[in-house]
Amino acid sequence: MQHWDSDERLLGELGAALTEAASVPASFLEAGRAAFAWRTIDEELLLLTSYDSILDTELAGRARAVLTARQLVFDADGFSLQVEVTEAGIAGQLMPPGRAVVALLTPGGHAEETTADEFGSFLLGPPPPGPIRLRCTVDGTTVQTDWICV
Amino acid sequence: MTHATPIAALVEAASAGDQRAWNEIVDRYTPLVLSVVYQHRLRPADAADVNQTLWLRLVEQIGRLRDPDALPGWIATTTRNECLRMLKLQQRTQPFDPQATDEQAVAVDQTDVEAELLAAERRQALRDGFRMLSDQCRELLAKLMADPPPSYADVSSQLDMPIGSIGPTRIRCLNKLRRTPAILAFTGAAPEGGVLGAALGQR
Repeated sequence: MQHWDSDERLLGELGAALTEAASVPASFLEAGRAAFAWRTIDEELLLLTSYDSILDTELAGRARAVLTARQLVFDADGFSLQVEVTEAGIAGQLMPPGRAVVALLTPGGHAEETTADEFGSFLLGPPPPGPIRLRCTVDGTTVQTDWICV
Repeated sequence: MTHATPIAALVEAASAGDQRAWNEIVDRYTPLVLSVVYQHRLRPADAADVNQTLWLRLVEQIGRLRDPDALPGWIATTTRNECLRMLKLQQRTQPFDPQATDEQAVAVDQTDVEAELLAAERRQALRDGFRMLSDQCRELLAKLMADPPPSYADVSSQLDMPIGSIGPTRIRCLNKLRRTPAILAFTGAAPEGGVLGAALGQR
């Protein structure tokens, strides 16, 4: 199955592999290298995407036409962030509920900041294109979501 | 950090904050990312977003990888998932057409996707293996893989190598390639004995 026992095929496939690598646009490499600036040194809690409505096949099959808002849930130990994204903006809910500073970050830096009320609800404007993440500061503790394109 | 630094050492150094190690990882595996991205026929802006998202996610995860040798597989799978997400996102923003089959925008056969993902990982394994070869082997193989293939006489004069040793060196270098960790990890073959040895070893 591997076809790598034939010298001809191995050399041919190796050639194709190296050609593929030579044609990578520089902008893709630059974006990859620049991502390292986001390395977090301290142990900030990372909220991983645990639910994404666009990947929910059951939901898509049931009611595609009425899907207007994208829903996402990010989770970590004892902390959860639920957001709804529409063209109008991002509505979010922190669990457990409570006051917090919520920032929307882009790879270029800080895009927008708001505060969550005592019920943990917050609103942000329409998200910019490209990957974003949300960072919440609650009682001096910072948690942030993983990167996602909305 | 050189072109031949093992991936485990790069992952460890990058986890500890070494930007050069990270750059080497990016240089090595961006072709794999793009190969998977191109399979999904994304719009150029979406392709760039998936690439950026992949690397941002890896920055978060690199310190948590249990098996650094599994990095190419992680990259291929994560990229594929982000591409699927992007395709769904495109599909959602288009007006709903009841006449259209629902999965039209994601009309990529899953078996094809799996096969192409595997092919992309194969090419990555070949690049990783090639990196570990001696300068002499890499020079010779790079010459020989040219299209159209050069004559041994040309290769002989260009590399200052006796014409009679080109054939045997080619065989030796390709066998070395087959025995590099990257290729062995992919073929699942035993370190010694090649394909036949691996087949026998399974009994």
